[in-house]
Amino acid sequence: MSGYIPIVVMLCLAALLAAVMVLGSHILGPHKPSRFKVAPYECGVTPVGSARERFPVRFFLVAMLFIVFDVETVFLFPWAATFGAGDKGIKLFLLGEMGVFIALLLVAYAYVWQAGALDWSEGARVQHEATPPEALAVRTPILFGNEGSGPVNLPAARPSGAANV
Amino acid sequence: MVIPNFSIGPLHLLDVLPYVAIVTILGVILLLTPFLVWYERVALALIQDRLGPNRVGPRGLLQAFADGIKLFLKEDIRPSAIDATIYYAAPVLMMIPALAACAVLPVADLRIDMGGGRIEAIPFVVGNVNIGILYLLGLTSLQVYGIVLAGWASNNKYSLMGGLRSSAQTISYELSMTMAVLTGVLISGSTNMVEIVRSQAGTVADWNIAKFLPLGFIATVVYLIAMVAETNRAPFDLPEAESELVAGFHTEYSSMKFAMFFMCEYASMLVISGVATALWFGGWNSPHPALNFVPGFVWFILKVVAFVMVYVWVRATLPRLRYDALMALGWKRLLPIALAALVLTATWDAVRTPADKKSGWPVIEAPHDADKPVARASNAR
Repeated sequence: MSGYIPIVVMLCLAALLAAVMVLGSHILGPHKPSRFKVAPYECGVTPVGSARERFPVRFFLVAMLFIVFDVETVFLFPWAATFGAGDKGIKLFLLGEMGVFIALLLVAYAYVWQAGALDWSEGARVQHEATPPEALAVRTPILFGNEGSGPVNLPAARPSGAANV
Repeated sequence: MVIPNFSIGPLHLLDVLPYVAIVTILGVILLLTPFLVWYERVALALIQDRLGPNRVGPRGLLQAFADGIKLFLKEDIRPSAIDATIYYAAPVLMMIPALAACAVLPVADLRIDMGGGRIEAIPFVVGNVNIGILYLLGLTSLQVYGIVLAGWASNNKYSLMGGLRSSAQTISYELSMTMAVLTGVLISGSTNMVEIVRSQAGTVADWNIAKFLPLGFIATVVYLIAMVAETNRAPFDLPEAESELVAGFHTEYSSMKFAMFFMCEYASMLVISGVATALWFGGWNSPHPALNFVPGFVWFILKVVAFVMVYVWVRATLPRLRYDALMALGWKRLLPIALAALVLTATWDAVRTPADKKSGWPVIEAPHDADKPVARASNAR
């Protein structure tokens, strides 16, 4: 177990370094907060609502699938580490044992795949549904208040290729 | 190069060596990060036909140091909407695994004269532990906590989306990466990093990438793709896709905390390249016995630097993936390929084993009096 002591020391040292960085910049830097500086950043406009919004359940689904397959890898690690040392009989036996385990997981994997849990392209599934009429309706244009002032006179575009001369 | 075993007072070389390794590795990572940033900026500039940093120091070499000092002295803005404890803890939580993961990375085999002409190979590593590769995988995946907590605590929509994307991406690619690592463990027959590297001594043909061809090569490619995705680098940098998410999970971070996320990215790049080197490309071993006069750590550093250069090259060459394509690549392509490579490697190994090979497994003798009931001290009360 003595091999682990330097690792613990290294973990503590890394934590210390990180804490010093956060605290150091907190102490050394200036503090001049203003109402707009401390507002959540939303591209410079006033933030709309809270960020604690609903988010797609897919992210949660992926986490659950991950746990299923990660448990598999936990079982595979001792198997892979000791596999090479066995004789032919042991190896074939181990292969069969793990083959059954992996085959069972592959059934789950195939089910998850065909159920669409691994599908992240929303468009692939919605494509065949009819477009709702309100999406097709012509919307009222957004007015800026300067529509009555006539066309804006832009300088005439130069013929293409002339810019390089 | 043989180093004599000496002791200063009560301190013996072998006892002090792990702590020397801690200081060396931490120092190298912290000092190398600014140069990595400089290298990336210059390489990108050259590829994109620009000049890149060329003002601070010779050829702009000190640019990243100047940026670091500037960021350290910048205002530590405390956004109004944050969850303060988690907000300040997140960069620390990310930094610890990024720096401590390299504790089991073997850099070189030192040849130490133990006295009486007996020369032993002692690995230059912080902790030569049996579960080395498990420790590495565990710590690299702990980094996702830092990212997702930073995204959550910022209370910013961009940060939240960046954190969620990053967590989903990291855990998806971790599966393929673990499967590929398992193939390497199977080929080497150990989870100890030093043993894995030692099993690849010899020529290029003895490296794990060249064993069980083409299965070792396939597993290596899967690992290399997954490692770019694990570190959230281009073309898998969806969590911080600046065209859609501003800066992703570190949008609300300023001053040194922002720089810490950057440092973590580069530190984990170095560590995960080191793992690729040790696992597939022979670690400190030279590609041919004729080149054995070059010290091991030089080979190790050369290989890691080569990986970092590939990282930058890939970033400059490939466009960013769409998110659904990213998840499909991880779950529908890499995972089955990696699993198939693992099973096929095991099958091949079992088939080609000669029938008269003795088992290397320890034989556990049945206790002499197995049929007698065992006295249970704990049940006596």
